[in-house]
Amino acid sequence: MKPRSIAFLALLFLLADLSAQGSSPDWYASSGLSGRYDGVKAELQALVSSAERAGIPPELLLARMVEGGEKRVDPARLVLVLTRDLDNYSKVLSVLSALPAVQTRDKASLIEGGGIALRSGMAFETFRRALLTAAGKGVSPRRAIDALIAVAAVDSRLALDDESEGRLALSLACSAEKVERFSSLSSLFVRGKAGKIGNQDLVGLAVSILDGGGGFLELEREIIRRIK
Amino acid sequence: MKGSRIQLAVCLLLLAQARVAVAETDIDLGLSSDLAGGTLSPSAVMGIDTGFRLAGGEGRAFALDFSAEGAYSLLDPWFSGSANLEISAYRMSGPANLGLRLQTVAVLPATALPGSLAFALSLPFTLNGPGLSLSLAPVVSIDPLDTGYGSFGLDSGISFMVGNLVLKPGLGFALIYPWSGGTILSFKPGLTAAWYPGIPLSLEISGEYRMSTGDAALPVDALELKGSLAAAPVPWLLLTCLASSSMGSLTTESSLSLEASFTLARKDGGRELALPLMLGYESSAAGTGISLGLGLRYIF
Repeated sequence: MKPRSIAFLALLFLLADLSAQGSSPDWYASSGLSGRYDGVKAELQALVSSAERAGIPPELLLARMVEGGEKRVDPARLVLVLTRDLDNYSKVLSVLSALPAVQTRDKASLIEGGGIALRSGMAFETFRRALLTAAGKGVSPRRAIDALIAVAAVDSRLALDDESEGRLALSLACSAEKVERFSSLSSLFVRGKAGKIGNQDLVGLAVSILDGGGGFLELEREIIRRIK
Repeated sequence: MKGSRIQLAVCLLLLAQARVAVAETDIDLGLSSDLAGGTLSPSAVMGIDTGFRLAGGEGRAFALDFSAEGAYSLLDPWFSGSANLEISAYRMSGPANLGLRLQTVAVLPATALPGSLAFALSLPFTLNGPGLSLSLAPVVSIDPLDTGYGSFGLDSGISFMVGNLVLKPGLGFALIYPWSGGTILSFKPGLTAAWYPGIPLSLEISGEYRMSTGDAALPVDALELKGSLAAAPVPWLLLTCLASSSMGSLTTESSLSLEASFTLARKDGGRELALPLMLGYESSAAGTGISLGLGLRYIF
């Protein structure tokens, strides 16, 4: 069995155990983290407890712990990364709490999605403003966060400035493009960049097309035309 | 006169409603060397790519793009280069987009090539749906040099997305009148597939078959295949690979170029300094050549 499959099974057992027992310290024994991470067990436990107190589903942190264990991340670094994750999740939750439309069942995946966007390097203020503005325009939090993740993926490679990120995320969230295609945005931008179209130009082009009711098909056509 | 007034009115309307102006310039400087026959043939290469865009309300946009590239041989008194100027006005809002594009391409004469100066005027029209896009572009072009031509034609195409794949079948035709006499009728069926897999990578492969007939001196049939790969595996590296091959009834040419561009610095406003390394391969009736290049790219 592959290590990834083992880690996944371990996570399933862990989550089942957690839901049955609350967040008792027994979760650690079934997490697969024993041994290498014993030295930071207290810190990990404290993080899980903090997540629970803040209203953040602890399985989000546990999943990241298992991921870190699978990658054999240094224990001190794992604590550092998880502390940052917890901070990001708390920030995302604070924004989501201001939105009336968030269903409890969606909360965990929305917090996780927001955490991915912030972890990719998006500034919290950019994230907050884009999410609230999109929600104010009637965009669902799920769609808005998926747009933010797509833009954060672009930023992680092409280093957009904060203003460009916000404009692009808002345009994408409010656009007619299908959510399933959002992830292609980073591929489209890399295509344009390789064709010597600058970041500002690409963002301007995408915003203009998306705001005008167009989608990725139109954006792709225009990028290719400019490269030629 | 009346046409000029209408154009002026359109420009003023665009300017009056302008809300976003973007100007970006990309400058490349570098050294390159051919390694044909095992002997070095170094040359200094330079390129500039600049553009200005004005976006108005309701998706209206005006753009001016200029690019030029040149190479100067450091051993022989030899210079080659080309320049491209494009002025376009678009309405990119809503399902029906209309544009007007004037393009000028100049290529300096080089060994065994006479050079060219082509002007093309096209009126691209696009109908966009959520998953399908149709385009039509009547084109009139002229190269006034002795070796040139006059032509008009129509390019058409469909784009549609299947998952992360964009498929673009297209068909073009052109009626070409070389100044040397005769007529060429050219058909260009083609297909392009572009893959945008949701990671910072894209791949495009295209094929076009050019069928020509007529009574001009050299009507040529050719199959052209092109491929391009772009990837940003890490934030400071952009990889580009371009390959093309033209298999004609008279000649066969192929080329491959690889570029690794290392980002050295980035500043707000899109300013960027990069170090591109290039490797090129060319094969034609004139021989085979390999080139290496190193340069600096500044975007501002």
